[in-house]
Amino acid sequence: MSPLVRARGLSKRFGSVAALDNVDLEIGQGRIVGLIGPNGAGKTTALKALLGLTPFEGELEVLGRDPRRHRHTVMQDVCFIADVAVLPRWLRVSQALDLTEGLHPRFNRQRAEAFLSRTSIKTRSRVRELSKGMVTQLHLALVMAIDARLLVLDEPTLGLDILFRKEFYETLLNDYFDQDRTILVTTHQVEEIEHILTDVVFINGGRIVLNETMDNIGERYAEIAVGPEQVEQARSLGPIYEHEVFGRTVFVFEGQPRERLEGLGERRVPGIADLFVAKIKGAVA
Amino acid sequence: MSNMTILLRRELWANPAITAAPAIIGGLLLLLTILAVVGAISVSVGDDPVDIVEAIKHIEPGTAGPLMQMALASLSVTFNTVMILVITFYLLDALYADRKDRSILFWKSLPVSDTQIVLSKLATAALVIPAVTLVIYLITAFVIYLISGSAVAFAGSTEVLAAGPGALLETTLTLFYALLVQSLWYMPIFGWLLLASAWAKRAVLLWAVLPPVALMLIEDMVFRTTTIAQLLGERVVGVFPLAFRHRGDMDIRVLEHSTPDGDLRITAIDGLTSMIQPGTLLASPGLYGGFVVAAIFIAGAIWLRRYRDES
Repeated sequence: MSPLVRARGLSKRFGSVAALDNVDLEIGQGRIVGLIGPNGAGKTTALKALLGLTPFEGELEVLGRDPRRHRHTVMQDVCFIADVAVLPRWLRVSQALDLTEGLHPRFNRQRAEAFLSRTSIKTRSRVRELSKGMVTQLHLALVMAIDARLLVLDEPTLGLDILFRKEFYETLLNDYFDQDRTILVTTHQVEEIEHILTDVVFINGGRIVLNETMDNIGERYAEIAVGPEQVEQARSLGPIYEHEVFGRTVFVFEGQPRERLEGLGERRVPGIADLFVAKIKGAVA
Repeated sequence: MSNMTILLRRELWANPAITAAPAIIGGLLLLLTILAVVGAISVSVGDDPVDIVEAIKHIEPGTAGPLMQMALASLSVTFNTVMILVITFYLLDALYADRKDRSILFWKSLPVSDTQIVLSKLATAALVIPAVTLVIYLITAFVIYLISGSAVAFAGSTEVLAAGPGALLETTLTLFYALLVQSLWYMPIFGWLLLASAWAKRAVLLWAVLPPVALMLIEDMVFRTTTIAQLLGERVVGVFPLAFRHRGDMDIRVLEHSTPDGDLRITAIDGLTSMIQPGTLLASPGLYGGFVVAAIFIAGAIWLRRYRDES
């Protein structure tokens, strides 16, 4: 099956700074991909290129179409939440439903209303009267009722408290996601999404530094806490990163066969956050 | 097409002033009418107060219609003035508000082209706001007719009551025509305001006003001519002289009445619609030149809306 998103040599410069530097990326159907990178790494630029919101160089196909030239037809199959708190403040909940129903051919109003009925949001309320968490719920209700093939979430839970953040992703996973849908998400709160991801992409300085399925990460990467007596032995195996925790040294290895690492200590799959630090800091060192 | 319907409704939701402003004006005018009828306020000619009831008794027979048309015409001028202010501020905000409150990405997430968005704003300014204004004008005029007609009937003459429907029809048709040609003539102004609204990062009004003013000043300093100022002036006030005609023999005498304080003489046009004359306007190169300029400005606004990346 052809991928939903296919980018070849995607580049974008702001003056002398490369926001995207020759990025190749493919996203297949039914995946939940986390796009993770430090501030200014090019995450948002990549998403905007994908959504046809910014000009770029290189080849890019979203659902087989060029988002630069066919933005509004691409948007029939793609949904995105840029920063959920930003719905127009004058909009009433009922008007939001009317609008989306009127403008989106794949919107199922009953579905959105069913979701809203589980919240304390009233249809007469205006967005300006809702709390930040409720605005998120409203936006999510709208988006989940759209039968889109690709959902793009850019920092969707920014500024929300932890209860809403957890609920947001749980709802997304339980009530929305299935084999036919694909989700691309960027966030700083990596720990909150790593258990729902199927794929993870690290981006730094406009370049992709890691692109793996979560299954492969367990195979390819290992994190081992080593006692002082074995530190030199571990270093000789070429770890990509090391740091001290409670007097032990934690090493991250990439691509080392299991048997070579045996005996050093307990092998764990590194968390996405740790792996991120290892890849980004390791690349700098 | 259904996209356009919902986009126009969106504009009415987002801009309650479109209905609120003419409704408030209508309400105030009704209040003034009631106060005048009960005698709480007085009408003056020069410095001298006029006894309305006394004056009405001196109306020439058969001229209640033209008199009402004149009164309703001044009512429609008031509505039009307010409407032009509403349209101006609406357009200045039209492509700016959702960039300012950062909801633009929500609109961009919907499968609607930026051309449709911009055209929906233009249609709101050129068609929807005038239509709303016309309806509220008609309601106000009808109620004023009922109040004043009943008051005059109470004073002993049913002429106003009888002439009212014809006068309402005449003035409503005339206003409809006036709003239509005004929208056509103002297309380049609408386009310019949309362009300023799509362009400005802040202070939209300044972006809309300063460039033409600067051009006028530069032309005046460099060439010592005032071509741009004349073109702009003609664009702002030039449509009604082209679209209407008025000859002295259209006027009839409505009222001539001597009071101890002074004389009162009123003439009015017998049938406002007889002034309608689209030929001169339709033959005017200014109309079509305006369309071309408007198309360029609107294309610029669409381009900015589509390709500008601000966040």
